[in-house]
Amino acid sequence: MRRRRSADDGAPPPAYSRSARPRRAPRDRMEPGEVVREAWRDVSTGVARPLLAAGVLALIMAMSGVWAARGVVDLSQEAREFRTAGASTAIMTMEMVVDGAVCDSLATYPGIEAAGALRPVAQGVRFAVSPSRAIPLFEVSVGFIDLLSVIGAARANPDGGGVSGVWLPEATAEALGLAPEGPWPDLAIPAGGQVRVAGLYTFPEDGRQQDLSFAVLAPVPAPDGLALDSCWAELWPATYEVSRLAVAVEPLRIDGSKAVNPTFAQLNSTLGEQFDGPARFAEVARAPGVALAGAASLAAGFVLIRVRRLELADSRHCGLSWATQGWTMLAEAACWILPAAAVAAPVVLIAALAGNPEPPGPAAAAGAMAVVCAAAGAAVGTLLGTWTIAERQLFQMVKNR
Amino acid sequence: MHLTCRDLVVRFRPDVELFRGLSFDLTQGDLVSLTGPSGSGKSTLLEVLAGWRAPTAGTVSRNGVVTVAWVFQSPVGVARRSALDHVALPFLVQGTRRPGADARAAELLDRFGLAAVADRPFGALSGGEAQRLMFTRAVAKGADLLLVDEPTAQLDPASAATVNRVLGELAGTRSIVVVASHDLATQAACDRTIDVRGVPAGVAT
Repeated sequence: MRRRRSADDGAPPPAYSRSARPRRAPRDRMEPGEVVREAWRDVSTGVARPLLAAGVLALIMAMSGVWAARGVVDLSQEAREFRTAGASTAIMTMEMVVDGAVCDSLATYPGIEAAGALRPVAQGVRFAVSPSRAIPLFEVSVGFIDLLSVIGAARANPDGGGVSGVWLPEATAEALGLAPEGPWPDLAIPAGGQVRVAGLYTFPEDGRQQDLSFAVLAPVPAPDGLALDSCWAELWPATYEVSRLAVAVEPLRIDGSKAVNPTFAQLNSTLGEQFDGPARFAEVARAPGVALAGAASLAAGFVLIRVRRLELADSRHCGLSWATQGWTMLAEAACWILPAAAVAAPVVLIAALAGNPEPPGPAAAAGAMAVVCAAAGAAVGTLLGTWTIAERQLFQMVKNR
Repeated sequence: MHLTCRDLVVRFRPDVELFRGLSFDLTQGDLVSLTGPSGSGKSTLLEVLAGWRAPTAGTVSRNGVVTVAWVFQSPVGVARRSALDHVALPFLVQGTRRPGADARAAELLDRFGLAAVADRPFGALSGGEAQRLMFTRAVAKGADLLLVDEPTAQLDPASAATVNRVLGELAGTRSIVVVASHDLATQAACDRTIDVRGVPAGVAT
């Protein structure tokens, strides 16, 4: 050893000689099959903490998946409530000039789920069980019964009455001595004869107009030109706009009735005028739950790698390249990501099914999206964690241990 | 294959300067010990030799030195993986399939007196066994330059003796072995000694 000169004696800038620059280690030639086997050994020996990792990820997946699915289910329930309450039902009134057949045909228009017309009959109707009491009677078009299935949970008489009979709200049925459950017998009228009961419907006091809460609805054939008073249309998505209704109402007029001005109303305005399902669904889909699931699982994947940084840096020191180590860590991650997804999936599916008034597809898809995001986040976190591992850190890690 | 250091200086702050122009040459088969009091820069010099730290002044020429292996004061391993797995990994990285890698690893473990613990998890090895395993793995890696940092500092005398015996067996192999150690027995196991303060210390053997 020789002391030649000190550092500050004007020596040339410090440098490694060309041959002494830190070199890349020879490229590793680990076989892909060995990568998988090494990963499996790490999993089977518990080095990769597969149970902990799967447990944490399954929790993240289940929580975010349930959150996403329930968001859609809640939206479906809210939409169903909006519709069944009559908030999406518009009433277009033009006394004695509404063409019932045309009104029924509105149901074929995009955005109109059901439509039907009606008019009150002045005398009402009396039944033998209570001859002194006149019950309001409405003549309705056939399409109105379809509308009742949306806003009134109409249920037909099990004895097969169909539309060839009257429809009664539950309050009227109770007043006439009919049980809530069918089959319902024919009703006698004071003048003699029987009236068939086609079915019952519910018409609760939930803020809707109460005209039909105690009444008798009598479907009548609606040939062209039958003049009724109002046309009810169930709009979905529910955007109650007068301008839109004004367009729909013009074809309803029976010829020669131009002088009658239409009036518009909402059957139930207590829940607001609009319920834009697609827009609300898009909002639910953009909810931060899915992003949070991705971020949380990314963090989990990252941390699970970082806690092994010393052994991973040591493996790099044995010549393992970043790419090979990344593949190994991904293979290990697959061994806990897939079981976590398998555990979370049924939970999410149950969440999508429970209390869902609609087919579970959209809710299940939303939940599945959260699960997939969590899985992807875990994989990315694993790779990011691996990316931060460097052989060079080994010395400092050992010193700091 | 040789390693040449010329006029090395590492300065941490203006007032802390290490090596003071240290120069030395090492060739294949050399087994040298770095000596000096605590804080004199033995570990820092190992980093410089590894290429992990650039010297403030001077040059390091590593002709033919491609792979570098470290053996640290505290053995580094995966607690639940077997001793055999640790030694087999470098062979797997070199492209050997598992059966061949295991066979070659078992052969090396036998050579270093670790055949009996081949299947034992790393976490269940004694300190001396773990440290010898680190040497075994460094040999499996086929390192051109083996840097050893205080290998016996945390071992009892009996374990330290086994490690020093393994160290002595590395002399004359294809590697250049540089050991930083306070342990006189470890220094005695080496062929020669370098005082990192830049003072020629002669040949220890």
